[in-house]
Amino acid sequence: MAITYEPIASTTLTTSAANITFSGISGLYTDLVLVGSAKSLLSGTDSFGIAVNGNTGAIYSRTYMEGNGSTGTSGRQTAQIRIVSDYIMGTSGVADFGVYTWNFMDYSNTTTKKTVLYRGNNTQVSGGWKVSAMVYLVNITAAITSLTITTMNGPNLAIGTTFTLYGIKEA
Amino acid sequence: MLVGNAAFIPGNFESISTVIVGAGGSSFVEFTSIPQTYANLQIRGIGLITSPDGFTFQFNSDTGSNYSWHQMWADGSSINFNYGLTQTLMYMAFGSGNATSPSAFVTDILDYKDTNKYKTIRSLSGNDISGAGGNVQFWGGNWRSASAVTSIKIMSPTINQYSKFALYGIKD
Repeated sequence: MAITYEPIASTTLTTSAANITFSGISGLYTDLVLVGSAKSLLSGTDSFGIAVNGNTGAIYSRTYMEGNGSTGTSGRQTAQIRIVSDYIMGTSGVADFGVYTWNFMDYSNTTTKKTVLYRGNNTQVSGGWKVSAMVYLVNITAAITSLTITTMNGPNLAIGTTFTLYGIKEA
Repeated sequence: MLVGNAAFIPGNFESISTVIVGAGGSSFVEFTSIPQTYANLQIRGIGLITSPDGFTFQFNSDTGSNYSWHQMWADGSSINFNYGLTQTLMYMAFGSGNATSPSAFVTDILDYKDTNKYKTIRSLSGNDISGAGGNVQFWGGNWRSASAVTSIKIMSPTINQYSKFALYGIKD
């Protein structure tokens, strides 16, 4: 039986970098799963921004809920310029990396817009800890062929940041 | 296997079946004769529905009051909670209703063939339709049956064409 849940590519930073890009993504799969263990060089906490197909136009919207152990909050934003996922770990806590997962559902179809499900966990010792779930709309019907991951506020992604892209095939 | 090729090592996450809703839509999709060779099941769904509604699950054609579910959901302004006990079906996803912006869910059915346990189900789901609103949800559910899961029916009043539901098996 063919492999169904298949690693496509993985990057681990050995020097800090402004972004990580997965390009030339095959249309062979049904869903993409992007998994990250990441840290920003910003003091405090930062946010990820993911551009789909290099598009940094106002085509992204999101609905989220998050909690910090004492308070839960919800919010919505439209017309964003990237898939924005909040509260990645900053420089406090040298060995503290958050864990993040994005599910790009039916990414290669050219009929519907794209829905992305996200879960993120940040347990930064010095504060800014969050657990969150988000849903995104990427307002394109084109297939997703590239993902570019950056920080929204910090200078760079830190050494040791790892992102792995998986493809899930259907029967 | 040709001499000189690397050995093929099959993965533990296998595709079982995929249903794509055709023209005219449907009020349900169903996976039947589910193999009993995995540890857990996962359903990954994209549903196009045109009015706000939920996706409900039934197992093994059980229409008795054997389901319960709990939900935590958010719409951008508040976090809310809901639940159902001794129900005839189980809610595991909800969509705001839009013909081109799909609702999505990833649902795990753990230990699905274990005949010593009732079945526990969990789901992450959501739907964002930009200026018209959005909804993200966590769900937990329970099917009070120790039977192995052999079929799963997913229902919503109108599931439109191009909706897609894929069933996967995860091995130990």
